[in-house]
Amino acid sequence: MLDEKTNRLVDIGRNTLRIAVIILSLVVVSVPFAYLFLNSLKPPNEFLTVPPLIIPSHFTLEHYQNIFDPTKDTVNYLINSLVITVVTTIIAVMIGSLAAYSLSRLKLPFRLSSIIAFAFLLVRFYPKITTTLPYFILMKDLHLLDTQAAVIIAHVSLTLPFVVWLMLTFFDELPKELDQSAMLDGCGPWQRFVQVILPLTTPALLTAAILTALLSWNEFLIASSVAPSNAKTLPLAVSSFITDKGVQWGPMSAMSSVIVIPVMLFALFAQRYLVRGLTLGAVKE
Amino acid sequence: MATVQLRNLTKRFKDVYAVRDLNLEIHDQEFMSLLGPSGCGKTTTLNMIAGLETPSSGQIIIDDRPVTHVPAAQRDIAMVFQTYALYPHMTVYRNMAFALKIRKTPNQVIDEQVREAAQILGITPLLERYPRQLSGGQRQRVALGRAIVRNPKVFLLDEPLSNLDAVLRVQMRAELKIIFNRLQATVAYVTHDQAEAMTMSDRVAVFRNGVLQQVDTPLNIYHAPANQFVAGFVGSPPMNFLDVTVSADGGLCFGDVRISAPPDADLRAFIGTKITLGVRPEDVHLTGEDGISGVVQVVEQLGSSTLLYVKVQDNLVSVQTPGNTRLNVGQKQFVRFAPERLYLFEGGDGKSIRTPGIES
Repeated sequence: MLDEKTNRLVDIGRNTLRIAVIILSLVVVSVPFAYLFLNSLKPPNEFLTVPPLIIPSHFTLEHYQNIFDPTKDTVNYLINSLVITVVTTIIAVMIGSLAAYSLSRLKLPFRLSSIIAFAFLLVRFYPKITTTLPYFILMKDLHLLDTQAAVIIAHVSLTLPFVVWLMLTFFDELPKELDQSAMLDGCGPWQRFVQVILPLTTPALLTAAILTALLSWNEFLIASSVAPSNAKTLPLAVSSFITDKGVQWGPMSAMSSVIVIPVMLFALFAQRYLVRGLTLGAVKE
Repeated sequence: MATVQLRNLTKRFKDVYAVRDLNLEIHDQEFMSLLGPSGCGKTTTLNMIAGLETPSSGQIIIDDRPVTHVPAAQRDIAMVFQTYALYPHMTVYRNMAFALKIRKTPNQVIDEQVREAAQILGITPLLERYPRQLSGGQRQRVALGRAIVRNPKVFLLDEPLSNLDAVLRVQMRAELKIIFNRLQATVAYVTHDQAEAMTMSDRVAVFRNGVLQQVDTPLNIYHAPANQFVAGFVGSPPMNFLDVTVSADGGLCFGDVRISAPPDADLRAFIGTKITLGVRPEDVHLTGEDGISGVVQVVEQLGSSTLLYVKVQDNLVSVQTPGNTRLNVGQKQFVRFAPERLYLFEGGDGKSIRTPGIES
């Protein structure tokens, strides 16, 4: 009897600890965002009070009205960001997965596959800032400065290595017999990829898509160097609230909150498809 | 259906020969097993016939048409993989229909063929299920169904039963035989299980280290093996081998034992040299007092038979006896080798000198 009781107490203790850890992590992650969101609803005179006001005295939407004022370009920035992110994601995932599939299945001599795969990784080793200037000069020479294309090209080259590596891991895990079986069933390489391999790697593709989209959507450094005004993206727009006349805390918070919404919606939509274990039953383990 | 001819086929991986100078013909409607231990080149051979591996040299001819450099997709060959390789995202029906769809077969024909194959294999109730919802035996059948549906020129089967449990394996062995008999198909069947090769095949090709050792009917492989390797590999429990010296009068001596050679064996060239004597456990008999003496070391009671390991001189000889034999370890026993059932092999390369053959 005593044992049973002790066991139950230990169980309760363990569960409490677990829940406490989860809540703590959640707080660490979400408090900054909650504070940002509350700030976006705060009246302008409450930003720099001492001690700081966490909950505004009253809620206001004036900052949102401010940033979506027809005289401002916020909608343009939003469109820029959307176009750049969507196009970057499509191109990077498409090219990246094709490259990864080839690397995974081609029998190249002299371990060439590994060398190429490593080369993809290599370009991610150095800090992004080192490539910012070359990108600027490249885009200038290509007469692409301040266009969406400039940002897209840069973002694709930034995200491609990541897609290749993620997909390579997945393709390597897929049994080669599936390819061979499809081959004997009469499929060419393209049919094999589209009809057999892709459906089995949908979760991986979506993971790659989500992470690529996030990277592109949030990217600041290169976008700021190659797209200062016409092709300006939302992160740049946020930074432009830091002016020589001071920081416009209200609109900045409102804009930052707006940035998050599309990403959240996308992540919510995509996570439904992130089901692993679809390959179960392909071959006997 | 079709014939398959392999001419001087060689596959080299860097310095290692996986298959060496292979010449083999699989006749129309023949069930040919490629038998050998793992790493002997049988799967590589199969992959080359399928077009999944390119030969380093040599030729593959299917139905008088050289296909050595024809892509796998155009060889009209169906393969059943050891791991089944079913498409996990497709139902059984779509798995079976896939190859026909790729070939743009009309839907109605696909439906007829899939249902007919499902009928033959008894998997009609499973057609709407996914591979992950099937047991090993059912997956195996679907893999087979996927091959049958296509009505290919040649069926290639790569150890299709090795992932099944022992009972199911024996059952599927019989079923496969019935199915392929009915289809009158040309089949190349890779296995390391001699029981599968012996029971199912019209002919068996035995491989070792990438080199073909012998191609013959199962009974000839068993009773007239080309060399010591084939003799030792085929047969369960395996054949006993004893190193013997040929005496001047044609006797076979080991230790202080002398047994007379089979009268039809011409051993004149081997007098004074060491050769290998082979005798299968079922051809060793326990006798009264007039045999070779030995001591029972191990008793394995299998039920239908009892296997004894008897120490004779320095050799451990396995003896197959009736299931009701009652003997104890340490007991002294006399054994006799049935003289007409002796196998003799050359000392060096193990080439057969004399085998019992099949009584006609």
